[in-house]
Amino acid sequence: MRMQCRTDRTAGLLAGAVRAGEIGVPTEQVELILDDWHQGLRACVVVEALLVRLAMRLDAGGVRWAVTKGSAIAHLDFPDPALRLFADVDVVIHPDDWAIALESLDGGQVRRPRTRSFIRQFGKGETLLIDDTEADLHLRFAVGRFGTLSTMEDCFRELDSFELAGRAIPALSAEYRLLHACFHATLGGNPGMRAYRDVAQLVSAQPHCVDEMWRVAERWRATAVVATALLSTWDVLQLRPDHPAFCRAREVRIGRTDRDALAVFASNSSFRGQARTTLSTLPWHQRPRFLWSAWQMSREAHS
Amino acid sequence: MVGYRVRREPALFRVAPGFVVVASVAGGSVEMAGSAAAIWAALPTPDQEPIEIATLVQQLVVEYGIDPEHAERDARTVIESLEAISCAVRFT
Repeated sequence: MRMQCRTDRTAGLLAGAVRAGEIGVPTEQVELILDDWHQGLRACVVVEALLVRLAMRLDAGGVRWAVTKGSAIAHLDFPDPALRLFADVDVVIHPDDWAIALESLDGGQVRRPRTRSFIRQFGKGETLLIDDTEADLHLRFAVGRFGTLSTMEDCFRELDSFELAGRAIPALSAEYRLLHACFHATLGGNPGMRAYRDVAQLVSAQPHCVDEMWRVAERWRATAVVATALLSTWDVLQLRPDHPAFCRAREVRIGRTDRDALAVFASNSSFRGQARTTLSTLPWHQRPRFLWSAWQMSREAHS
Repeated sequence: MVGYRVRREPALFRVAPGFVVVASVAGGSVEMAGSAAAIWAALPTPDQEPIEIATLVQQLVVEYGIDPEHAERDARTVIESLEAISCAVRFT
């Protein structure tokens, strides 16, 4: 269990449960569990230092952006940020500011122009290595069908914020944090216990956001993703089945095209397979553009 | 004890029972155990008035029942560690 929690970055929750006496472990294991937690906390503050430096650069470039996942959930959805560990930075960039964001962070060194072109049109985003730490810049919550059906501008209508080192850090609002957590739990490929815990934590800590999250999911045609995430969360964490969020998820009827796309992600298919689920969202006349762009990216990757 | 006032500088931090880790925006970090978490909690934030070191030491003595010399030594060590990564500042 300890090793699983280390890998899954749930050592904070394990330590909390051990300290509260909810889980009994041999005395010699307690120190090791606390060590894992402290190591995770060390990583969190280093990552948050990077986040503040990133904020300075993005703000200076006039980029509209918001934190999502790890740091945002730790500060806004957990009673104590020390319980939620993370090891990288995840930020969502307003689609209209994507080019400026890349320019602000990597000085516009376009090493793979065709890959960037594909990402801009159909991709999930880019991972940049900044000061030896990974920063995930999200243009969408996922690649493929469910990513391209989203309208990411919606996320920026209203933002939350929290403070880091005296600086206000913009974060996705609760409904979009929950939506992103659902995307990650369903489409993230072996997302681990932490992803389901995030979904459960958000539903529990921010109950007012659940209805609005469903409304956005309907607009984005992503109810299949949300329903699957909630059903998996309730199943994995063995939560009470009379919860309204779970009941609503059970009522969602998933159509064939969505079911086929979900199956691709559930089978841990290759990036290419996942990306190809985009085709079902495109009218026939736009499909050659997707295939051309994907082929160009593939050629570039092998050159 | 030489009198001075002290407070935090902008920093990233996490506190757990008996443990605190603090990092500066530049990326330097320090982790401390024992009474360090209490000392960090007692330090005013950058937007607050700095605290007299004697007041801080007295708080530790009262809250943790340790002798003043021990409390002063702990406070000095913690503040020096924080100063080294620009996460605390003294005013003389």
